[in-house]
Amino acid sequence: MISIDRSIIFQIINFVVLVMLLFRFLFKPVVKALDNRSQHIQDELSSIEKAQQKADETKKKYEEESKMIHQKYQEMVETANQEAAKIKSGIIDEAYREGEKIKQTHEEKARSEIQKIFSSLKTDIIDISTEMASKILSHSITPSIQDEIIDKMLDEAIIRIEAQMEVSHEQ
Amino acid sequence: MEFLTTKIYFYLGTLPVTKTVVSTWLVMGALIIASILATRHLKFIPGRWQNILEMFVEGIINMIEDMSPHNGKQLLPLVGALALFIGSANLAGLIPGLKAPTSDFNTTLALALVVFCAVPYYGVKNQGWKNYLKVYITPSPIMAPFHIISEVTRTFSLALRLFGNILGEEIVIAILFILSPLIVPVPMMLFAIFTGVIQAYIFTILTIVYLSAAIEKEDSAEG
Repeated sequence: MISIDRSIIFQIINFVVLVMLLFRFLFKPVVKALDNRSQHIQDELSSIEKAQQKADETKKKYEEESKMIHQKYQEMVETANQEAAKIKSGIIDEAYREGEKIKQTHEEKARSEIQKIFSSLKTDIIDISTEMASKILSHSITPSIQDEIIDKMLDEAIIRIEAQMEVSHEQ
Repeated sequence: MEFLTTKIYFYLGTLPVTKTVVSTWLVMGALIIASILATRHLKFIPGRWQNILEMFVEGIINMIEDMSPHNGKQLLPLVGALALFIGSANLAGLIPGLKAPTSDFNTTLALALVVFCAVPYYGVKNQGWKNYLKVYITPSPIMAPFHIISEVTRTFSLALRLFGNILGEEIVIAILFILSPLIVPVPMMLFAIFTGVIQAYIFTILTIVYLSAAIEKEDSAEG
């Protein structure tokens, strides 16, 4: 039953040949197919990972850009506000200066007008007084007539002064 | 009981071509033709048959990698061929007129001798001569003969286990066939399918154990 003969050499050769043939016709193609598939899956996974990374990077970039734009916008708003405040204070200062100038001009003008009125009044009073004196001297005047003349002259003087005042006020 | 004797058909030179050798050729031929047909049109998206084929190959690779990680593809040709050949050879005995090649001690011993030679081959290939031989003198040079004896005996035990199981099974089926040729041998034949696959699995798994031990000897020696 248990006998070892030279057919064992055949069996060893047979099995070695079988190993080689099975490797060539079965294991090699199947392992290659399995490897190709797993390689393909790995490639797909790595390309998905790459796309994900790229998307993340783009997202980050956009976020940074958005942040920068917002920051720039804030700076611009701040600068504009500062500029506006500067312009506002400039305009107000200018207005004050102009106001002061106008005020001064008008004050000076008023002062000179008053001076003019006073000098004109002075002249008028002198004229009236002179006229009064000449009239008094030229007539023999009763006291009642004298009073009448003086009243008349004074009224005339007042009317003249009022007229002068109105003219200067209008100017 | 003619299967207990080995019928010699003719001689090729001085080598006898026995019934076992012819059965081996037939099994080999069937396996190679089936392999060529199965791998003729492998597709990227596998069909039913390709799925079964891939499951078998991946199963063998996983079985190897469970015991020897990262060495699945390296050991696949030998281990896969052993599994396929022993499984097919065991089942070939159930076909009338054919003799299970594994019921001949010459076949099982030949397979065990291939494994016996493959162990140092893969050991040296992966660890180098120095590291591989160092294990034989671990923990002491006195252990070297024991290591060698252990490797020789395990080779014989591998051969005898398969031979004994398949021959015993064939004898039982033959006896039952002689006693009651009609129905009684059928359950035993069904059982033979089961034991045939189990024996192929045992031989394959033991081969993986021996090979992975040889490949990772350095690690275990250092550990």
